[in-house]
Amino acid sequence: MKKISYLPSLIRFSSFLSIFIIWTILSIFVDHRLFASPIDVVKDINYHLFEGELISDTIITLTRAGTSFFIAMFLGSIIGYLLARYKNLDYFFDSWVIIGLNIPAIVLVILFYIWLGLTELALVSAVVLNKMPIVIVNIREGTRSLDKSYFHISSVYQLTKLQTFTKIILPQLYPYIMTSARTGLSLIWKIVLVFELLGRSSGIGFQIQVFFQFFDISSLLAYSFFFIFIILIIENYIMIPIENRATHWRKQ
Amino acid sequence: MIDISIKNLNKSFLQPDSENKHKYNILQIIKDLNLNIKQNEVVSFVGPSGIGKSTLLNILSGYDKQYKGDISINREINNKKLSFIFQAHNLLPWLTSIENVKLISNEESLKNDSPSKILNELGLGDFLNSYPNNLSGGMKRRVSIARAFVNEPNILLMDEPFVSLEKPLANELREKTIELINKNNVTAILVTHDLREAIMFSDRIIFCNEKPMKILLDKEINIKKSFSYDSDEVDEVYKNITMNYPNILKAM
Repeated sequence: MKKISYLPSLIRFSSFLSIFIIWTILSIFVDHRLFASPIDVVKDINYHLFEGELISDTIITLTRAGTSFFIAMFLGSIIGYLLARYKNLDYFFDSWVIIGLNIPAIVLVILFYIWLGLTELALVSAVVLNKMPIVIVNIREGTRSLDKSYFHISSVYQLTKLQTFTKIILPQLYPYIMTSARTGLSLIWKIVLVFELLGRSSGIGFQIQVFFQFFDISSLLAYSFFFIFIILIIENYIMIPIENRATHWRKQ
Repeated sequence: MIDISIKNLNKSFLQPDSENKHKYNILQIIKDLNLNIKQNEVVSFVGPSGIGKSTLLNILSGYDKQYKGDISINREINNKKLSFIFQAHNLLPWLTSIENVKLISNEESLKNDSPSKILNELGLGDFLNSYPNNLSGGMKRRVSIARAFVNEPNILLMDEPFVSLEKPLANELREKTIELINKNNVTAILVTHDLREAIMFSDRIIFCNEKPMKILLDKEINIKKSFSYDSDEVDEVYKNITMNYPNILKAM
C-alpha cells in the first residue's frame, strides 16, 4: 500500500504560519495605523462582510472579470485557431497581435474611458483587448502543433466535422486552452481592479481607491485578502478540476 | 471482377534543393502507375523505403487528394467500409480502447455491439476501458486491428502493420489478421519490407523500386492464405522467389 506523506502539507502549513507570525510581529513594532495586524484585518473582513458592501462589491468585480474572461477566451480561441489554419490571415494579423501584446493595459483603458465614457462597456472592452492577444498566441501555437497523423484517421474513417473537432482537435488544444484560461484569470482580475480604480464607482477596485484616500490600510487588506480568497476558490474548485478532467488520460 | 482500378496514376512532391534551400524541385514519386486488383484479392507491395508505397495507400484511402490519374473502387466504401491499419497504431491517447473503436464504428456496428465483440475476440476483454498509455505495444496493435475490422470492411489498406513487434507477437497478429481478412472477404493491399509476410498474406506480390515507383515483378502466389510465417509452405515460396529472381531482390 502506498504510504501517504504528510510532510508537504506540513511544510505548506508552516509557510503560511510563518507569514502570519512575521506579519503579527511587524505590526507590533510598526506604526499601527499604517501596518494593520492580522487580527485587525480579520475583524475588518467580518465588518465589511456583514455590515459593509464586500459581498456586493465582490459580485460586481467578479461579473466584470468573468464577462471579460469569457469574451476574451471565446474570441481569442476562434481567432488563434483561424490564424494557425490560414497562413495569409496570420501574415496579415500577426503584427496586430504583437501590437496587442505590447500595448500597456493602462493606455487601453484610458483610451476606452475617453472614447466610450466611464462605462461598463469601456472597462470590459479594454480588458478583453488586453487579454485576447495572449489567448490568440496560445491557441495559435496549440493549433500549429496538432498531430496531423490523427487527421488521417478522420479522413479514412469519414468522421464528421463535429467528431473531428470534439474528438481529435479539441483534446489536443485543451492544454493550451487551460494555460490561457489560468494565466488569463490571474491577469484579468488584477487588471479589472486597476480599471475600476481609474474609472468606476463600484467594485473592489473602487473601494480600494476609497480606502487609499482615507489611509485605511486594514480595510484595504481586508478587501484584497477576501478577493484573493475568492480567486483561490475559483482556481482550486473550478479551474483545476476542469483541467484534471480534460487531461485525466495522461495520469492513468 | 476488378475491385480497385488504378489508371495512369502520377504523384509528385516539392522537395527543397540540396544546394539552395529556398529553391524547390519537383520529385516525381509515382509515374503512370497502372494496376488492377480483383475482388477479395490481397496484393502486397514489397520494396525499399521512400519509393511511394505508403503514398499510394494514402491516395487510395482518400487522405491524399493531390494526384493525377484515375482511381476507381467498385465496392461500397462509404459507411466506413474502407479501413486502414497504420504503421504507427494511431490510437487517440485520450480515448479508451473501446472509445477508439466506437469512434469509427458505423451505426450497424454500434447496434450489434461489434466494438466490444471484436476487442474480446482479440483478447482485450479486460482492457476495454484502458487508455493506450496503459497498453503494451502488442495490445495497442490489437486495438488498431479491431478498429480496422469493426465495420466489416470491403477494402483494407495495411502500411507495414507488424513492423517493430517482437517475432512471436507479430506472427500471432499476422495470423489473426489473415483470419479476419478471410472471414470478411476483404480486398486488401499490404505494404511491407518483409517477403515472408508478403507471401503469407498475398495472392499477388508486386516488387518495386526506384523513384518514381517502378514495378519490377508482379508475381502470383498460389498458396492458401492460412500458413504461418515459418511454415514449410511459405518457406518453399520464399526459396523459389529468392532463387528465381535474385536480381530483383538485389535491386530492391
